[in-house]
Amino acid sequence: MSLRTTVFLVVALLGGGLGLFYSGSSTVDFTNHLDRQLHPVSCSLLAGLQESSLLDESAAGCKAALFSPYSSFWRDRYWGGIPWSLPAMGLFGFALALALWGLVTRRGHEVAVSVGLMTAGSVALISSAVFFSIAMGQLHTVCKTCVGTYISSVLLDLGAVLVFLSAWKDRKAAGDQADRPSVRASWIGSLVVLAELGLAVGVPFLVYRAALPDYQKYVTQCGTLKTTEDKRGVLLPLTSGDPAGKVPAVMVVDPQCPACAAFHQRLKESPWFDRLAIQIAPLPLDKDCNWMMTDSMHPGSCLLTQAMICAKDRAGEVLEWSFQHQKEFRPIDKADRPAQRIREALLARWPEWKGCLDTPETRIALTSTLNWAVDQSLPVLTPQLYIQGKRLCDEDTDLGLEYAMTHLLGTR
Amino acid sequence: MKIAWVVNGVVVAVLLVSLGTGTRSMVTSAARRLETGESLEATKKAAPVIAQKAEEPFCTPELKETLRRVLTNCGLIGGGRRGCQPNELRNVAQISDQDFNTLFKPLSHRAGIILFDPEKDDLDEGAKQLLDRLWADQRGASWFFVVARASTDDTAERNRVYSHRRANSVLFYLQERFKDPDLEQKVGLLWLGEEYAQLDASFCDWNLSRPVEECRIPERTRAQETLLAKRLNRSAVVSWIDCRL
Repeated sequence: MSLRTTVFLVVALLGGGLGLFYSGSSTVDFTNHLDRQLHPVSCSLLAGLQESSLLDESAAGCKAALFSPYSSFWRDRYWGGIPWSLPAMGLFGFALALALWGLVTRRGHEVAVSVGLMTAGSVALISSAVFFSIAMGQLHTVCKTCVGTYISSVLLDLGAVLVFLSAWKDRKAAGDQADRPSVRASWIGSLVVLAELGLAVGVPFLVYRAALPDYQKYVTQCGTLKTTEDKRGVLLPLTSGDPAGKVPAVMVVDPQCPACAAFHQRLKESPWFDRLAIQIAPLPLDKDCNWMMTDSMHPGSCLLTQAMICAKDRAGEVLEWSFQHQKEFRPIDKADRPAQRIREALLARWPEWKGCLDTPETRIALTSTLNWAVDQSLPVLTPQLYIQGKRLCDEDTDLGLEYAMTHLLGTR
Repeated sequence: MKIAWVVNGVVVAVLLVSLGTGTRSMVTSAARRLETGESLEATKKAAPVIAQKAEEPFCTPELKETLRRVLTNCGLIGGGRRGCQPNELRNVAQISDQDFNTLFKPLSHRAGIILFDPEKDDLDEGAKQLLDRLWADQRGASWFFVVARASTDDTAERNRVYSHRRANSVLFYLQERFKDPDLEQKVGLLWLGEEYAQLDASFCDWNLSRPVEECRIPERTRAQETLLAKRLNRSAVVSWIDCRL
């Protein structure tokens, strides 16, 4: 084996090692959340070596990637699904081990090593390209730890290609030396190496699957509505379609709550959205109308709720519009009262509601809506989703959403 | 050659064991936290507040006790006949006139006084507007009190009738205007005639359905005081009560 091949093997080894580090870090972040709690996410090219906190805004990209439906697969079968970083760990670990073996035994120029590294490098590079395009096209954000994995993939693939070319030259230069493996031995060696790659990817997956606890008992124990009846007629339809044949659901939301907007978006993108007949139960966390609040968490949401009441069957349209304009309607500073701004925007969009906002009838309807929450003894927080009267746990509104929905809908 | 592949086997075995144990350790650690409910200090959540009716600081035990007695004996709690008459109320409330009024003083920002013409029980436009506004401002309150009175112009018996009619006027208006099917369970009627807990000049600061000229006079003569008392007491004090009883 030439010095050149040795150097290229070191490049591949570095790519494998770095890839193992970053994919391992992503896997740690992912598995930390398997306890259904919130955890800080390491989001740095020095992942795991820096202190991270829940409020770290620089981790927003990594959180978006982690909680997105693209971070794992089979989410409806297993709580959170199987993280993509898990097979990545196996893949990079395999590349690291193979390059290390090639260096230690001085057999890095053999066909089996080139085949193994090229396969691992190509899979890593293609996967990185796919995930990068998802990050740019769907998530519109970049996760630094993922960038580390992309760099590792490039390094590994570069090393693999260079090893492949250099090893080919090495083998050609060696000619018919006695210790050169036969074509048959090279084939067998390549198959063995590919089988090892399969094992490296498959073993963590199998172990992960076997170690996962049974989440079924957790996802259906977060409370129920006292009654699914709506005697006061306070629930508003989210969509205008015919609810016949759909599963009844109630979504408790505040039109100014960012978590509600994000949850609504996730729900809309989920395959269950069209199967649910969702009704909105507004719960504005604004002390202007909500006596249960000592302070306004979302100022202006009482007015937006009034607009939803005025909209009646088109309440979902107002809710969507409120979610889209949340940033503009948020208070600029502590002294800012956004209600006037919201009123102007509402009346510019729906001038016909001038005679409806703030009338005694609308205010009474708003109180009735809040009293519905009292009658149901609901927790004063948003968002909440009740499917057939059963509450989707707060802990299951991101990673565990698909799994919990599958169980609450009784499709598994 | 053979040795090299043995080394390969060892390296791969080490890799597989490391990947397997590492993965297992991560998942089982989360599973343990899930089972025990153990959480990071930073992520510990306070139990959420449960939605319930309002309970304002002015809901002192004394006020609640009086309200409970009045509501129970005047038909709102436990069913039975609606409304309480002055003689009954004096016995039911078990407190003096002065103390009765004092209990309601903290409601000044929340309540309104619907003023009537002498010997009349119909609501003028200002009264209707004030009632609309106050009724719509229920918030988390459970009970709406209507405490009607009469001035001392007529006989006690006639004044009792006037105050009864005034209380009913308010109730009928609310029923007609808002058509709330639960209204009967929310509105408590008390008619005090001229006999119990008459309002004094300090109620000038409350939301009045129409201006009372004598309220604006800083130094009132005895005659003006008398006139003011008569005007203020031809009335019904209405308020939501933000107390859980």
